[in-house]
Amino acid sequence: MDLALVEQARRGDRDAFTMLVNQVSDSLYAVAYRILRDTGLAEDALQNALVLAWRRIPHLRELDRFEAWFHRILVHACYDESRRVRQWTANVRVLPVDGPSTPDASRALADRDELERAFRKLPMDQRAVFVLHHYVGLPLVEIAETLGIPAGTARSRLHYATLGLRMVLEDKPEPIRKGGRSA
Amino acid sequence: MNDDRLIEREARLWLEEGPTQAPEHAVRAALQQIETTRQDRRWPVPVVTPRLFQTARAGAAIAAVLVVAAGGLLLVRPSLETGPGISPSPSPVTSGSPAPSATPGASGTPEVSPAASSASTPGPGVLITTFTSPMNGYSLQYPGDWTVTPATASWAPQAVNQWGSPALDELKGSSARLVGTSQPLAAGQTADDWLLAYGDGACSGPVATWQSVPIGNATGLIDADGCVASGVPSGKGGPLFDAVVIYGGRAYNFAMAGELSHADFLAVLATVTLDPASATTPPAP
Repeated sequence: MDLALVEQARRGDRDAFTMLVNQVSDSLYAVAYRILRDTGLAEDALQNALVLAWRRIPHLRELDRFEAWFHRILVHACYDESRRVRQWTANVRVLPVDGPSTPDASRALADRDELERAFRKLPMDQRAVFVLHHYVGLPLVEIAETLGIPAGTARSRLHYATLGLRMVLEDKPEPIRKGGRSA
Repeated sequence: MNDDRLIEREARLWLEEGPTQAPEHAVRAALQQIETTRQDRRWPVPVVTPRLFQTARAGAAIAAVLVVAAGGLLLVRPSLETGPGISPSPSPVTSGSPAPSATPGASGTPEVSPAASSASTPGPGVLITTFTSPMNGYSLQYPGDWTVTPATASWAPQAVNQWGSPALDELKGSSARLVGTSQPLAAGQTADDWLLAYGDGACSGPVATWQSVPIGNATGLIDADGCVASGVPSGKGGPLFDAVVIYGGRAYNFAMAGELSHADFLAVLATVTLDPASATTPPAP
C-alpha cells in the first residue's frame, strides 16, 4: 500500500483516495460477499464502506494500518446491511442446484450447499471472523485488532462459527446419489 | 464432515469460490457519492463535560490498583534479569535534577544507580529525571539517560501527529521512545467530541471500549494498548501505547513505542503531573 497516497487522501485529496479505492475495492468486495453471501448486499456494503472511509480517513492515525482500518469499516458496513434486511432475509433458503452427472461432483455440490446453508445460520460477527481468518488469512490477534475486539472474543467467535458449521453439517442427511440410495 | 479441521479445509475451499472483483457500477457509484461528500473534520464545541469520565470512574479504581501492582512488580524485578522495563522513581525527584549517583540502600550498601542500570540493560531504565514541558503544560519522569527534544510548535486542531512532529515533546532512549503533547479544546468542544474526533486508530476499538487509566491527577483513556508499531520510523518499532486525557480545558496525548510493556506505559503515566495553566497555548475562551 502506498502510504503517500494514504496521507494525501487523509489530507482531502480525492484523486488519491480514488486510486486507493481502485487498489482495495476488489478485495473488500470479495470479503463483503463472503460475509453476507449476497451480491446485492455486498455491493451496498462496499459502497457504504468506501464513502464512510472517505469521511473518516482524516482521523486515521496509523497510516501503515490502512487496510486493517478499511477492513474494520467494511465489516461494520456488513453488519449494518445485515441488520437492514434481516426481517426479510431471515427465512431465505438455498435452492437446490440441478445435479451434476457424477457421484463425486454431486457430493461436492451437496457439501457446498450444506456449507452455504450452515454458514447463513451463523451470526454476522462469527461470519466476519471466520471469513477474515479462513479467507483473508489474518491471524486471530490481527483480527482482534482490526475489529477492535479482545483477542479472546475473536477466538471465541471463530470457535463458535466452526462449531455452528459442524452442528449443521452433522445433522444433514447424507446426499442422495443417483438411484435413490443413501451414500 | 465431523472433524473441525476437515470442516475448516472444506470451508476454505468453499470460501475461495465466489466473486473476487467488485462490480464497476458499485465502485463508480461510491466514487460519485464521494465527490459530493465532505470529509469528517468536525472539530466540535461546547462546554467540557465530565460525563465520560464519570462513567469511567469505576474502571479507574481498578486501573489504579493495577498501576500500584505493576509499579510494585517493576520495582522488585531485577533489571538485569528482565531486560527492558520502566519503574517509577523510588523517591520524589526535583525538576531538572541531574542524573542520579549511587546512594546508600536500606542495607547500608550502595544501590546501583539508575544511570548505571540503564547503561547495562537495553530497556528504558528507571524513571528518575523529571521533564517539564515548556509548552504543553505537564511534567513526567523518565530515565535519566534519555535524550529530550521539547516541542517547538503547537498541536493544531485536526492535526494528526506523526513521530518526529515538532508538536511533540520527544524523550528517546536506546530501546524506546515517549512523546507527549497537548492542545486546548476548541470553544464549546466537549470531551466526548474531542475523543470521537481523535479516535479511529486501526488498532483501537470504539472510544467506549478504551481502558481508563490514572494520568496525573485525572483519569485518562488508553486508546492503543500494545499495537504493533511496525511503521514507526527510527527503529523504534515494537508495541505502541497511546493514551489521552482531558483536563483543565486541554487534551493531552502521551504515546510510547519500543521495547516495553503495558505495565511500563502505566508506570510512566503514573508519574505525569498535568498543569494546564503552564501551557503556552491558552485554553479557548
